[in-house]
Amino acid sequence: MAGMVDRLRSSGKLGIARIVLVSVALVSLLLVPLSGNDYWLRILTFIFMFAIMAEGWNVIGGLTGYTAFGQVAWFGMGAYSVAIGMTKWKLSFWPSLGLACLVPTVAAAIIGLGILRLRGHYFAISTLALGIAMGELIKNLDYFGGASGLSLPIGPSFTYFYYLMLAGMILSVLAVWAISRSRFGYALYAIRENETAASTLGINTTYYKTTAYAISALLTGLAGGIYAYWTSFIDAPTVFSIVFNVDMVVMVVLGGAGTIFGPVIGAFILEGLNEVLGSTFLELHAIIFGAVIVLIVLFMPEGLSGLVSQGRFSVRKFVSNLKTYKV
Amino acid sequence: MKDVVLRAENLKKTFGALAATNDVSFELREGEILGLIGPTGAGKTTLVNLLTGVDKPSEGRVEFGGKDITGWAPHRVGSTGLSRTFQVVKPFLHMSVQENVTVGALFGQGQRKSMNTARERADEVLELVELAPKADAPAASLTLQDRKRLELAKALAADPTALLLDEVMAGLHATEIENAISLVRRIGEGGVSVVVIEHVMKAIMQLCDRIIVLDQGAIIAEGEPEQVVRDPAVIRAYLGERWAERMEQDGEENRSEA
Repeated sequence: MAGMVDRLRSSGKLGIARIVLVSVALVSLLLVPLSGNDYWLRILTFIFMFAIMAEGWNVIGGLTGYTAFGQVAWFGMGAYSVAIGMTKWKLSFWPSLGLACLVPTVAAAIIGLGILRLRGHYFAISTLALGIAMGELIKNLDYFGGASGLSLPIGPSFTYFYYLMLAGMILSVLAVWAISRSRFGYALYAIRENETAASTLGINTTYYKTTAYAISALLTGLAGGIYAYWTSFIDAPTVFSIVFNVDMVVMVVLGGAGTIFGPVIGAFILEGLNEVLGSTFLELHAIIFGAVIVLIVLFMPEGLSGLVSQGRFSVRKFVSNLKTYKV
Repeated sequence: MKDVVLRAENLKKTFGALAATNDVSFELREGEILGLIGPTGAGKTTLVNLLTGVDKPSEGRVEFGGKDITGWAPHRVGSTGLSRTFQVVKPFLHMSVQENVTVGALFGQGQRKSMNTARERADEVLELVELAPKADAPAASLTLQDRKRLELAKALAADPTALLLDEVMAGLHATEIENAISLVRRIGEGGVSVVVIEHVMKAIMQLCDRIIVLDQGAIIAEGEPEQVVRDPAVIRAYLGERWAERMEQDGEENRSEA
């Protein structure tokens, strides 16, 4: 996972080519619902959802260098906020979605103050435990529907959710872009690179880490909130699924941790791959997924964006990585 | 006499039974370059850690700019105008040289809010430490000499009132040391009070207004460079008892011959 902490230096600058590419992609995505193909609409909505989560993870894992593995806690919290808001409190969707952003943000800020004292593997393990514990807790509370889950009012059309998720994805990309070129972003990079040096330069590391964690929870909660209304039924095993946890991390690492578009690219490739593999090789798909992760770490620890910016596929890097990781 | 910028009072730090710093008191005055020397393991770096909040003192007090900063978190110390470098340099490897220094300018005592003014400050400092041509290079690509300069530049960009330099010359060869000496002198002339921790005696002798000698956690000598290096206690700490005796005898013979 050495590539996890690598950031592309050029990623903050938007070249003409990139602007054109992004505009074309955006316009095509806006036009997709005109085709009326519900299958593709559904898959793309899923991809957007993962892209939001991946960008959320990117804020804490990519920019700040804290490998959080329990982000699904915020996703589930967002999903349950919408579900509880709409079914128990009889709120409409938008205020509920507001809760889906607010609740995980506040929770992450409070929990983060405690667990962000841990570093490296210890932080990763504690966040993983957080994600699992949250799922178990919700499953055992009757107020949250217990093991049988919650049914939400039926939402508007697929097209509505398609655009909503797309807007969420654009928002999350803009958030990461804004952070990456700001004072706040520089504090995060400094923390990722060397926390002791960052603090002696005057950076209040606790404050910045916690804020980054809260922002990542906000984005992840947003995705969870939209998801709940979209599927109109949620239960704890689904929205606190450990698979989501792993997926969002792998997407970021594949695309390029700490970059602006990397997580989105990772989401498109991996979720696309998932769809193909899942329908064709139901049993093998986890194995292929695992192989992909190993190959990323060995061949391109800076992700696909690193590959593109360096302009070549480095065999020498592959060999040196083989030695480093004693494969 | 000039105002005291930084004052340590009876600082003590124990790790288990070992007193790494034992009852250390000293003052750094405005515009002064103070040398801190002592054999390896004397407690120099521990002292810097105590002053900058990286370690908490077991006893004693640290005063900076008239404020009691004992036990402050490192970031509070850093943003109040007391900056430091690390003996084992800590560059932000995956950032460019300019980005590294910009971090110092954004935070530290300057607390610049705008990215542009921070970048301008970074460019100024890079000019001063002669790293400007490498502004866009990744920090990971720098040589040791340049990494030491970068370490200095980051701390300087933070607009410190006082700067603690923990062995910025260690590992450099003769020419590089000359460059470093003139650089530290320029920094001092810029109005920053400096504590220079160094094993390179040439640098200490040329730069410092005053020297403090640490041995086994305690101050054993203090004064002007010329006078301190002749101090028998200092010679004993560095070279051992027998050498100190021989030096004293030589001294007496020289005097009787004269």
